[in-house]
Amino acid sequence: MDITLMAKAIAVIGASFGIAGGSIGLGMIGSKALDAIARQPSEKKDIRTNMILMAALIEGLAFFGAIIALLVVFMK
Amino acid sequence: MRVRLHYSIKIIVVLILIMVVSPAFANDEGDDVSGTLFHHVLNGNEITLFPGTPVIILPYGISVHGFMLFLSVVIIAGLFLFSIKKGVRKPRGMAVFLESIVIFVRDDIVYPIMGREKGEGWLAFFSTLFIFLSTINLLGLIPAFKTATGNINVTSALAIMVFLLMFIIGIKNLGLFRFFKNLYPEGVSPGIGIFVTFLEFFGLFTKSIVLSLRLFANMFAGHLAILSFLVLIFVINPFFGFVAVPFAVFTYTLEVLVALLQAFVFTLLSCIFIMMTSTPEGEQ
Repeated sequence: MDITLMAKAIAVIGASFGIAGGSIGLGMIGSKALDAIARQPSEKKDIRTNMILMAALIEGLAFFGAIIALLVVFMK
Repeated sequence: MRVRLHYSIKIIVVLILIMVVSPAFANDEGDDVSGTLFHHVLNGNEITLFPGTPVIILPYGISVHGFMLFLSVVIIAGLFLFSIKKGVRKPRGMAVFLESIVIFVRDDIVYPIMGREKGEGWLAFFSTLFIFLSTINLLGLIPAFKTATGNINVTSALAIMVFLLMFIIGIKNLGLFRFFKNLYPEGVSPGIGIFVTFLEFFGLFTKSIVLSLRLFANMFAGHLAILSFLVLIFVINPFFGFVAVPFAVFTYTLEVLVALLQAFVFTLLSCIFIMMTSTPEGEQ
């Protein structure tokens, strides 16, 4: 089997793992934030800001995996 | 119900039109998928306004990303110079919009983190950062333009600026000794304390690196995602456009959100980082 093809396949699998981790984190953030808003509707604004911040942080990590995989797959 | 049906039919007609027309714009790049993908994202020196029209080649020494940076500076400076006038008690029109952005930065980013006295002087820096980033991110979403923040050199330059500010302001406010003492946690045994101090010191570097990588990765990957959907039309078959075009439109609208969100996150995090290094441990 072609070794570069192998490397590309492994890169794609690695990216999918990274995105899976990120999505677990995003799900936890979403559920906790909804819990918090349900308990304290008056603090909705603060909770939403912090939720978006945390989501952006985790999304960045998931993107690293995707970017590295894209570079491995498409760059020559 | 009638009205809703009417609009949905309109949308479908537009989508079908786009699909019918799109193969006409396809040129012989179709075989080289990766080349086509990266040509639209990476830096270059030519701008194609419309498919088929002659390519605008920028003069030597100016890349498209550099041109976008200049363009954003011109736009921001023009907006502020022409719309905000001194001595006007009731701002109107564009001035209200620009003031509301600055007030958003003040009330949601700078004052909650830095406090009123300290944040007042920093407001100019952070509002400039936010307005610059959001302008340049949104400019990249216009077809034929490229995102300058999708280039790691641009984001690195911004992150290096924040990194230097972390050191300079920290040492200026606390002094050299207290700046490093600030990294040492209180109330732990010396072995763990020295280890944590090392971690915190390298944390200063990783924070800045991740700050630049996050913005770069978000803009780069978002644009690649749109292009990947559209390229699939040429790779699989033309009828895949029924799936690909709505997905690409969805990703595009998501990108508008991400562009503003990343500008917000970059500003917020740089504010937090500068605050963290420039105040003593107990007072945060």
